[in-house]
Amino acid sequence: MKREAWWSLVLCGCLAAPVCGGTFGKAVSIGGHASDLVLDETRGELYVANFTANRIEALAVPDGTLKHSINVAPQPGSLALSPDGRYLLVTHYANYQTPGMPRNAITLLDLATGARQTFALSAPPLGAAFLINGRALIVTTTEFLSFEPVSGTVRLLDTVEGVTATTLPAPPANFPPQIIAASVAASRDQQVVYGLTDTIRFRYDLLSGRVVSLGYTAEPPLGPRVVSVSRDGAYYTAGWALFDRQGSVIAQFPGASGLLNVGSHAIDSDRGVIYAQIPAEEGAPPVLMIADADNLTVRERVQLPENLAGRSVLSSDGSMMYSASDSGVLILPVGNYSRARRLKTSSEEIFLRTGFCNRRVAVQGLWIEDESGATTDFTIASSHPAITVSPSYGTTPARVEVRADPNALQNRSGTAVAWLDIRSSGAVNLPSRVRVLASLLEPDQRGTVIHIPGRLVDILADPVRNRFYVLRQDRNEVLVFDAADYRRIAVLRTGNTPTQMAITADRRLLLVGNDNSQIANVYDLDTLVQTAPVRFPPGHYPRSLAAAAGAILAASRVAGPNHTIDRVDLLTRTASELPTLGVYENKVDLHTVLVASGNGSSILVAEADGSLMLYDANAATFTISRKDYTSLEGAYAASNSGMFVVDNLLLNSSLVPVGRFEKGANLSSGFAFDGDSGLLTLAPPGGGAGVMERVDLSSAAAVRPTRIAEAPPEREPGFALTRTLAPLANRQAIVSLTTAGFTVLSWNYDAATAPPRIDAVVNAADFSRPVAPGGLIAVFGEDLSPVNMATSEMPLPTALGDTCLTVNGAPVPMLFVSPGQVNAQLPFEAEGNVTLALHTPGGVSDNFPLSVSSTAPSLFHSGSAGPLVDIATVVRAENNQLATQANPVHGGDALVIYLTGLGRVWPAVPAGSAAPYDPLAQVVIPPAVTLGGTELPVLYAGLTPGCAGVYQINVRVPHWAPAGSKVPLTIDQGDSSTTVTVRVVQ
Amino acid sequence: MRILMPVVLLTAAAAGLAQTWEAGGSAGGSLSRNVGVSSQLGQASAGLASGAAFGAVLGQSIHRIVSGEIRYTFQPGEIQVASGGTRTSFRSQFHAIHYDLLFHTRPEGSSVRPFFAAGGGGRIFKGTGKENAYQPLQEYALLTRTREWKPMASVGGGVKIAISPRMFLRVEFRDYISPFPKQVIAPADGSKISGWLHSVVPLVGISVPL
Repeated sequence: MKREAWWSLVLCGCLAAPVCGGTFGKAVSIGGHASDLVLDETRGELYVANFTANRIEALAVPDGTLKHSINVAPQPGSLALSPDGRYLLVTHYANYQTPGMPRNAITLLDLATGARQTFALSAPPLGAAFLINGRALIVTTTEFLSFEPVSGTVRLLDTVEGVTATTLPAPPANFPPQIIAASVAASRDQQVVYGLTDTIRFRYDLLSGRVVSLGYTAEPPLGPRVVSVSRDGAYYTAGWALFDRQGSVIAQFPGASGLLNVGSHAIDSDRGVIYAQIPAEEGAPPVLMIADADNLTVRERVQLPENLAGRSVLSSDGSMMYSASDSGVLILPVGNYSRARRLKTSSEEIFLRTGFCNRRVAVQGLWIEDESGATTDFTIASSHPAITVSPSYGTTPARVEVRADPNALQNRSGTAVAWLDIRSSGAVNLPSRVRVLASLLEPDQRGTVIHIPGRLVDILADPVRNRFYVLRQDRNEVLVFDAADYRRIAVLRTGNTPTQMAITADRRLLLVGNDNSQIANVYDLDTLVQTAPVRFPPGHYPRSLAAAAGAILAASRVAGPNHTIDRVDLLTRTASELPTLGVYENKVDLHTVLVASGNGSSILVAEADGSLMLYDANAATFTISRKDYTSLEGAYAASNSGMFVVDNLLLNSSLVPVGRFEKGANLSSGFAFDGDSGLLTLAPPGGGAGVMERVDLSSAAAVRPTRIAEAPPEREPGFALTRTLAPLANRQAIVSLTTAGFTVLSWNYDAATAPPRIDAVVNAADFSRPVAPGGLIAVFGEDLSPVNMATSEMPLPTALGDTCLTVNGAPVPMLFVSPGQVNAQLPFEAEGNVTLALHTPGGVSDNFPLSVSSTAPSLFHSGSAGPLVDIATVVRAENNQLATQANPVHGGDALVIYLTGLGRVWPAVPAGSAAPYDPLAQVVIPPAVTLGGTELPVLYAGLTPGCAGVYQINVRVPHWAPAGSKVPLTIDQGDSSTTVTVRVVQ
Repeated sequence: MRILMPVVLLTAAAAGLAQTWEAGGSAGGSLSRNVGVSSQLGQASAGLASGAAFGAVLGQSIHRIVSGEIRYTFQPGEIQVASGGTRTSFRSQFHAIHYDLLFHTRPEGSSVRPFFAAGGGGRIFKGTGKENAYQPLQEYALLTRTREWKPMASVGGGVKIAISPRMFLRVEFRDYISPFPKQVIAPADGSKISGWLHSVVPLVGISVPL
């Protein structure tokens, strides 16, 4: 065999593999342009209409080898297979014009006998689909026809108007989706058929026997020109949009190019996903998105060997997807996607903290793994010179270290942002970029940053419940946070690209507007359950919502000449376009926001083009409209007293400016009214620390502008007006959206604070004096922190709630801060006499001398059971419950004793880091454990995996251990000892 | 125990001389009297909850109106503590094995033979429930998964009725009297449990001569 032939074989082998060269799927060339395909699972064949070669190609599934071809009449445009698999219906789009002759027709192939019949049509057929009753719906440019294959009879169902048929011959380089420009598809249960052309969308229900036709306009055109239907027909995708049965756009893929001949989609109802290629621009690389079927949130992006170009079908078990493509057919083993090589990172974002407590290089690890278990190459690069990653290439699994050097950041306070781009020649997916946030905090910067990944675009405090809501736009979610401890307590799914929230006047419902869904989501705030959405008129995307007493208004982006204000009817869950805005025409800027006053008396309409309007709830109409500015941007807010703020302008009840807040070169981001004053957040134009200033509404003067931990988030393109500030209803704290998530500031964040004072330092387990390296300590004193805050972040931060603690000048990891107590972990290197100091915005405490023993075992007394508290943390392994009088220790039991102060470990673990699972970090000085004088075999003594500063000793209780209600359990280690009593029974 | 064992040995020796043997099985229930628990917090009661009982007997006539028998009784049930309207319980098992002398009012061969019974043996109390770190009413007593043996006296009576030439219906009861099992139902610190445990066990069964 010649060398060239060997290479051909190798190449063929590579193409035959499901994954090759970093792409997913296998292309099968048919020597023509595929216009449609149907899957015949009974015969194991995929029929592909070869539009230009006038053939039906029968490919074997799943491998795609050509079994045979069937020559048919010219231009087979679409295919449909009867429910019993006997008939294959072929429509012929042969709309030839003079000097040619139209040869529009259908061909019925009897797959059982090989017989065929051809029926001429008066108009070019756009598509066909069989229903469960055995009849086929055929759609032409003028009619809906019902075709009975056994008798060959055709019945007229309805007529069509306004469909322009492309004539043949077509200009070169036009493809079937552009020529036919239509798609018809049935649900898997074959009860309902949906269709799409250039000018109409329609639904045909078998039960009603009626065609419901909807005209539409779409910008860009609804491409790819494919219809995919869910199993029961409850929803379908057509072009770049996901529609429900009524025709409302539930969601759409943002940024679609509208190309008719590039892309495809298929709905897997069982898995709740949609596989789709929706190109953003002509010439974009072919990428398949795996998206959630409810709101098109993209889970994964997969590289394809070539563009999809028409219908896709899934096998009944969802394991294989066959798509019309540039070469003919692309075969995608989507059921085996988990076995394809694909990269994933251990976290979507990295938050590095440096600052006045710690000016050392901040380091955090990031794992890059191939979820299939394969060894896959990667490169990784940072977009910021001061934020580096090492190594910059490797193979999976690999841990790379991300570093932020405060000196390289030029000690500029605030949060710097970098992006880590990960590439691979072997992985089939496009891994998401990892955002790295490097925070540099100076002592005068107030507030504690809570890192929340994602693009956060709106924040709203619940006026009656102790929580607040944050809109995460990139994941299409509302994040619900507990205002007591800032923990996320719920995640609510929204439509696509949520933009703004509003709470109804009765404070029961939360409304969310979406930029890529023609619905507003509605949630019951008592149960946090989503209820029926509000449907907007066709083409209306509610970007902003506001609820006043008796009226809920929405500013909608409209796929039409004018963007409008719509009125929401919660009873019917519908919205309608207002005919006029009082005496004014209903026409607003695309970038319009609405905000209601807290008492529901009015709604402010602020438009990026400089227009302002006011809806008066009492008059139930728009009473004011002004355009005093050429543009508006920044913060917006409405008060209960007829005052409004847009950007740094204070407006009276006639929307006339009565004051202007000082903002310098900064950009306003958030504003909140608070009685006679207000709070304004400002972002410096080039990044850095943000500023919050209290403003006097009578004079518009700024009172004590204060730097906050980081700047408000950058504005998203197309969203000039922002709401980033939420004073909590409990008046304990103010939450501001900022670069890395949100920043919590105490209500009196700008008050002068006293320097901290340390009174005592004890171990945090039983609050006794001895402490040991690596142990958890509790610092007691006064003014230790301006706020109460705990963290479960790992590694533990070295600054928490504006407070940091140093041991011999080096910052130590912290778990909890409050004005009277701080909990932290001692470094493993600290031993002997050390010095503690506490840093807060109020200053630095006096040095506190502390003697650190090499060992100081101390059991936690943090256990609770029913009404019992302060129970020593001795756990019986048998039932994983604390050993108590009611749950006594038995002979033969295994016990796990949780404690701190066991000193150094091997392998060494940095303080503040979670202890590893493998290898386990065992104590250097072994402890001895006795129960009533009987020595217990120690099975393990070391750090508890996943925790910082927490140790555990695992022991076995012999059967001869002495019984009693208060048997001493003693732990001796080095020169230290601790004892608790437990009940022991035999 | 020192007194009981010679009695058992003597009766067993006497049984060896006799000729008529009898074996049977029975089922019934168990009713127990709870014992008072006193604590600084108040009063409670603790003991055995009512439940089913199953027995097996091997007896032998040693005189025309006296017979002796070894009896085993198994009671699946619960131990419990109650105070006010609150009750907490714990799955348990009780095993009793004892030797009784039966004094009949009619001679052997009569179709109806009432009898009085008295004897002694031992009783095993076994807590088998699932322990939890907190147990309601644990300030009075702790229901514990452990095993405890106590000596036991047995008194009772009943009647044997011949329902065929080779089968007797036995209707009888016993009162098992034992010290309180303070390991299985352990008094909490500061609590005191005093009194004897009585379990009245009515049984209905069949026996056949061997």
